[in-house]
Amino acid sequence: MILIKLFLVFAKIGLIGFGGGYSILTIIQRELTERGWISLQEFSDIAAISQITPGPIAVNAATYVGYRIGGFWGSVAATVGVSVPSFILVILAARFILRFKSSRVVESCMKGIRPVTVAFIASAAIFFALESFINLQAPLYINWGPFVIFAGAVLAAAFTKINIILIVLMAMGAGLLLC
Amino acid sequence: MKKTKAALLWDLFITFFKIGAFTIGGGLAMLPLIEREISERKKYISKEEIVDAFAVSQSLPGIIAINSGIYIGYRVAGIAGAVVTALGVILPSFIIILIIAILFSTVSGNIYVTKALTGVKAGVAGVIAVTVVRLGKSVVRDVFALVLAVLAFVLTTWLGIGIVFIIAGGALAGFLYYYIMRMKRNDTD
Repeated sequence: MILIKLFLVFAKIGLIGFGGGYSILTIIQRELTERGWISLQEFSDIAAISQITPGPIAVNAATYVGYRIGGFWGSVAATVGVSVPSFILVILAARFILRFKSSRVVESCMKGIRPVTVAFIASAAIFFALESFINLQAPLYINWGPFVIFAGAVLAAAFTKINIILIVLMAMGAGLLLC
Repeated sequence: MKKTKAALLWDLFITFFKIGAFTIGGGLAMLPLIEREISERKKYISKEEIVDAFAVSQSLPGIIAINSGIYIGYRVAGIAGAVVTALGVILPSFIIILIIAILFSTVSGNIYVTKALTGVKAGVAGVIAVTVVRLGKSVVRDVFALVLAVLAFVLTTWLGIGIVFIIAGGALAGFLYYYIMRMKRNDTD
């Protein structure tokens, strides 16, 4: 019974969680603490763990909470639950786009969507930069350690064939030394 | 033919498992890896389609990493492709968190974790910046696209307009622009 409940609550989170990452965290927090499934302290632990471990934060939270409440199968039920809405919606959207790809209207819309999406990604790069080497309170003061790592990553990604995973791992190691 | 399909699915699974295992920082942090592995090296899909995958992932509810994995998996190998990419993205964090949940009751940040995390963020900002330039080269090819991109950048970065509105606005702008262009062309014909 608890497995079905876990599945349904996390399916709901997957369905109403727009915007991913940190905006989904707020929804998870509300859904889980109000049910008394986890305490606020436990929730902030999950948020901290999610930051330092790889993978999507919502999957991390689903796995952790599912395990706490229903053991191994609880973590399976919660993780599958949070992914199922994505599965259905994304495949429907992909089918729609593929089917009407040659239609003039969809093609025109996609031509407008692509540049704004790239701009959105550029904006995300700025937020990562803000969190590491730019300080909004003192915009002229640059945190040099992280900035050197940023510049190194740009050069490595643009001009060498070094694997992206390796670049991020090197950035992590450099962070221990420079930051 | 059967074997190549199995090989393709296995390759998709491994690729997305790697992506799931090494992207710290959420959905957008995995974009550079997707662009390199799926488009640049293996040529499964074009750069335009990677941007499409991200547009779809951002405008639907759910986890961005999983959404884009499912979209790309479906494009490359149908429903089976979507299943293996979703599993690939989810499994690494599932395993890691399960181990943590079993072994530790609480985890608190320490100074080394913070340092490593700062390094990762700076590095991720760098690789995303390079990816933006690459994707931009194949997507922003005329004045119309450039104006839209600059406008969207200003709106998201400084005014904090949500991605769903930005994408809807882009779709509307594209529809109107190309509609008007067609009308003009018909007039001169």
